[in-house]
Amino acid sequence: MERNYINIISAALLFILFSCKGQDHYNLKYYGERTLDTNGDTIYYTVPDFSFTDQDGKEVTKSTVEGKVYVTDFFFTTCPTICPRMKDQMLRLYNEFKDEKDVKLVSHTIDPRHDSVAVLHDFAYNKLELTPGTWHFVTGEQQKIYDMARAYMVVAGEDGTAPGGYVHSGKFILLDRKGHIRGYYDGTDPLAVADLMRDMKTLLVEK
Amino acid sequence: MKCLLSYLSVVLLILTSCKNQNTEGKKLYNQHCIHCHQEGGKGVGKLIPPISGAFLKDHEEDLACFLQHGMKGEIMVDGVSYNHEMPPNDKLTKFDMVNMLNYLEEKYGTGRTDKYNVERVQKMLNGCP
Repeated sequence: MERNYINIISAALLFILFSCKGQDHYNLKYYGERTLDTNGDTIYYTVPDFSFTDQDGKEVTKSTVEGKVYVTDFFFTTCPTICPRMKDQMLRLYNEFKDEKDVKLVSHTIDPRHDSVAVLHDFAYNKLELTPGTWHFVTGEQQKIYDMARAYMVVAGEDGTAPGGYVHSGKFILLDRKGHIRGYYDGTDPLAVADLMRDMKTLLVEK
Repeated sequence: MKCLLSYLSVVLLILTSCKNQNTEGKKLYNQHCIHCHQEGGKGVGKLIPPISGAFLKDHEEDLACFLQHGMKGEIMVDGVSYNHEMPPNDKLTKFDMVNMLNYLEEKYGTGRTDKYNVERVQKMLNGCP
C-alpha cells in the first residue's frame, strides 16, 4: 500500500516537472497589430517594404529576406556603449548559422552620414572578419532608417545628450519566413541570445 | 585566548580587505569595460582589442590617462592593429582607477595585486598629454 503511494506521487511530480516548461518556445508569439481578412483568418503584422544598400554595395529589400528566418537590429559603427556587445552577441548567431542559407542577419546603421558603404565594408570584413552572404550591414536615407526602426517597433534616433549622439534599442528582432515579428531579445544579454538561437531553430522548421 | 582571537580577527580583516580590493576592480570592469571588451577581456574581432598583459606592461605609465581621456587612432595590441575610439571614462575616481588597474594586472598581467596605488595613479594623471 505504502509503495503504491510513493509511485503515484513520484509519477505525479515527474509529470508536473516535465509539463512545467515555463515559456512556451514551440509556439512563438506574433507581435504587432493583427487584422482579420474576409474569411475570418488572422493577418499578422509585417513591416513595409524597404530598400537599403549593404556593405557590398548591393540593394537589400524585403525580397532579400523573403522565405528566410532573419534577425535584425540597429547600431552605428562609432557607438561607444552597447554596440560592441551587441555585435559580439550577433557574432554568436553568425557563427551558429553562417552555413544555413535560410538565415539572414540585417544590421541597420542609424548614422548613415558616417557609416557609408565603405565604412560598413571595412567594419564587416576587416573588423569583424566575416565572409559575405549571411550578415548584411545596411545604410540608406536617415529618415527611412528611422522609419524602419519604428516599423520594427524599436527605438532609434538622434540624441545630442547620448554618448555617441544616438540613442537606440539594444534589441534583436526575430522574424519568420513570412516576415512576421516573432520575438524581441536583449542583444546585450548572452542568455537572451541563447533563447534567440533556439527560437531561430524553431522557426526554421515551422510550417 | 585573547591573543588568538585578535590574531584571527587581524588575519580575517586582511583576507577580507584584500578580497574587497579585487572584487571592487571586477565590479568596475563589469560596469565600465565589459560592453566593449567583453567577458574575459576577449574583445570583439578586430574591432575591440582584448585586454593584453603585454599591452598593460608596455603602457604601464599611460594606463590612467587612457582611462581618463580615452584613446583615438591606431594602436597595436599583441601584434594586431586596432583603430576604434575608446571613450573617456572621466567619472572614475583615482581610487576606482587603482582598483581597476590592479584587477587588470592580476587577471591579465603578472598576477600582482598591488602594482598601482593612489600616488602612482595621480602622477600618471598629472602627466597626461
